[in-house]
Parts: sequence; C-alpha cells; structure tokens
Amino acid sequence: MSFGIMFAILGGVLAAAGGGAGSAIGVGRVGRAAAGVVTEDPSKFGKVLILQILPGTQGLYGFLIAFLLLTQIGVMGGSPIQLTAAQGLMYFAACLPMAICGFVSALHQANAAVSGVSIVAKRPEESGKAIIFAAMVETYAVLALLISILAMFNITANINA
Amino acid sequence: MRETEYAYAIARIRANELKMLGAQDLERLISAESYDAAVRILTDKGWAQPDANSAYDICEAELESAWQFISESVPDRSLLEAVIIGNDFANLKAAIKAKFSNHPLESYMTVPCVCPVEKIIKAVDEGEFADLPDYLKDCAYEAYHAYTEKQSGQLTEIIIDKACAAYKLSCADKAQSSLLKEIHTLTAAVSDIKTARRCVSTGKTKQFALDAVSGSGKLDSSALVNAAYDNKGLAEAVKAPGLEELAEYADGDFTLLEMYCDNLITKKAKEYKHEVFGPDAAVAYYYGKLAEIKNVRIILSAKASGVPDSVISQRVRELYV
Repeated sequence: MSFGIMFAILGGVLAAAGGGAGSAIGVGRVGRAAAGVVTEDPSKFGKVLILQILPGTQGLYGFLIAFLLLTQIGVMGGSPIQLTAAQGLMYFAACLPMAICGFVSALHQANAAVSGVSIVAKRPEESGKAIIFAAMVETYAVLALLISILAMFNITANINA
Repeated sequence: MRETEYAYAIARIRANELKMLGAQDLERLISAESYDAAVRILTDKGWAQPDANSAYDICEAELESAWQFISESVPDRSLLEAVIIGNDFANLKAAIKAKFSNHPLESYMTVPCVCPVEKIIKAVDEGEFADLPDYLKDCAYEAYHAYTEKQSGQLTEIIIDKACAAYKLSCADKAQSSLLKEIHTLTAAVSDIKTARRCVSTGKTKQFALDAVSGSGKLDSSALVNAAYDNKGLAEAVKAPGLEELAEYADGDFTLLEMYCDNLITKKAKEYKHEVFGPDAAVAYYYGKLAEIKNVRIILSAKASGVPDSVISQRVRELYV
C-alpha cells in the first residue's frame, strides 16, 4: 500500500472521527440538560429531543465524507487506485474542513442547544426559536461538508483526467 | 469539575424557577386578609402545610426542600455545601449559648446544614470536639473556652463568625464559583461594618474591635475600625472596589444595611440567571430561594402581628424571578 492511499484514508478517518467525536460529546451534553427538564416535566420530552438530535448531524456528515472518500479511492470496492503521496495529501486536505469544523461546530451547537433547553424549560411555547438558535450553527458544518465534497470530487476528476 | 457537568442540574433549576414566587404572588401575599389567608396562598403554590400555625416551619421546610433539590441535581454536592455551611457555624454558636443559658435549643438551630445538628449539640454538651468536622473543630474549642473561661458571649460570637467568614471564602474558591465568592465577600464586609459599630456602641476597646472584624471582605480592617472609633463615619473606609454603594448605608440603620445587602445579593444572583453551565446558576437559584423565603417570613410575621400592608411593602426584598 502506497503513502498516497495511507494519507487519503487518514483524512477519511479524521473526518469521521472529528465529526463523530464532536457529535457524541454534543449529544451527550444536550442529553444531560434535556434529562433535567424531563425530570421536572416529562411532557417536554418531544421538544427537548429535537434539540438533542441537532449536534448529532456532524457525525453523519463525517461518516458521509469518509464513505465518499473510500469509494473515490476504490478502497470500498476492494481495488484501491494508485495514488502518489501528493495526491493522497490532497484527499487528506479535502477531509480537513469536515474533520475540524465538524468537531468544533458540534460542541458549539451543543452549547446553543443546552441554552435552548433552558428556553424550553421556562417557555415551551418558544421552542421553535430555541431550535433556530441551535440550527444556525449547523450552517457552518454544512459549508464544511460541501467544501470537503467539492474538493474530493475535483481531486478525483483531476486524477482521472 | 467540568462546567458542562452542571447541565442537568441547571436545566432542572430552570424548570423549577417557574414555581418560584413572582412579584404578583408577593403582592397577593401582602394584601392577604390575614395570616391564614397568606398561608393558604402559599400552600396553593405548593409550599408545605404549616405545622401548628408556625410560619417558620413552612419556610424551613421550603428551604430544606430547595437544598435537597439542588444537592440531588448537582454533580458534586460537596462543592455547593458552601451555600449552607454558614448554618453549621450558626448552630455551633446557638449550641454553646443555649448550653450556658438554659434556653430551649431546638428553636435556634438552623437547617439545612452540613454537619448534623445532633453531632454539634453532643460535642458542646460533652465539651469534646474531636468528632466535629475539621472546619468546626478548632473554632468550636476556642469559642467554647472563651465562653467558659472568659464568660464572653460576644467573644464567642466573634471567634465563630471569623472562622465562618474565612471558611466560606475558601469553600467558594473550591467550588470555583465567582458568584459565591462575591456574595461571601459582600456579607463579610457587611458583617465587619456591623461588628465595628457594635464594638463602639458597647464600649469595647479598639484592639478588641480590630480582633473582631474578620478582614475576609474587601475592606481595610484597621481603616474601618479607626473610622468607627474616631466617629468620622464609615463611608470613606467602606469605599472598596465593587462596594461603592455600601458606603451610603454604612452609617445608617442596620435594617437598611441588611436590606441593601440582601437586595445586592439577589441582584448579583440575577446576573447568573441565564448561565447554562457551571455552579453559579445553582448558587444563584439557592440565593434566589433564600430571598423568596426571607420575604415570606417577613410577610407572615407582619401578618401575624397586624402590621399594615404599606409597611410590609417597604420591608420586602427584591425578588429573583
């Protein structure tokens, strides 16, 4: 196995691990706050559950990037393509936006969602606004996802050209 | 301890804040026809049923349940014991005084507390303090001997108050709660002002006053005592950073000084009302409950003794919610 493939796989691993770790911490953090509200008022379960789910999306995005990368470089099909170290590093760099932004945005989205849980606790009728505040952070995870996908497809196109 | 570990406790607190008495509830209590009517309003709001018409039973039950609620919600209750640790020192003071004055002890003991009341009573009865927690042991021994050997109730109080102020500040540091530190610094400063003025009015020596003030607040102890003994007024000596407003009340009525202190604590607690992580929100809630309970005590006592509504309105403290 070449260095190129190794760098590319490392990028995919980082994207999945960064997004996944951020989401795991984030979902757990919001879960604690949500449990606090449900302890006092079980009828708010549905509203706090939506807030708890929000920081979980970065984990999915990270998984998606890793999956696409493994498909692009042929690892998923069992016949990896030959990559130079430079090409491998390009794939690695393409994965970094999702790895870094996925991790950071999941944590900050969790903090916003925990604040949202406090809104639901005191003013359940305003839960929509609480969701919007937390969802705003998602924008940057989506942008990072798009950049990682675009970069990856363009690298593949250049390699195949 | 990570601040995010408080997320569960704070979410529970936010949900519980809805049950706290608001300005409208307070108005209803003040304008209630009688003591019984006021108690009915409280029981409708979920407060405990009174025991033999004693206002203090309701308030104590409410305060105990507030502490119970906080202690079962926070990740480490020992860190937040700093909010109730003062009651242990108050109980020690009560136990020593009651032993030598033959007063019924139970009515003077304060709950919630960290060290069981029975343990303190037993230690004072036997004059043996080894079983008390470390933070009480030394000051209990010193205060007990001050009472038995010098027959000085005031010296006993001073020894306990000083130990209490110093320990409260160390607890606030341990809990990493900036709110608790601010509150304990403020209460230590107010306590020092009262001590200095009391020493002057009871004819104690300046040295006695210097030993008596805790020095745990932001105030310069010697400047404070000198100002009190030189009859220059305390306003100048009290102008420490963050306590500027205190100077206005330092030379006035003790009731107004206490009211200012209570209101300032509630104001500081309100600043942490929207925190979602860390111990400060739990501390703020407890002090919010204290303010609420103090108001209920004021109102119920006034209702029981027929004080007019307009006078009660002037005495009530600022509310947390």
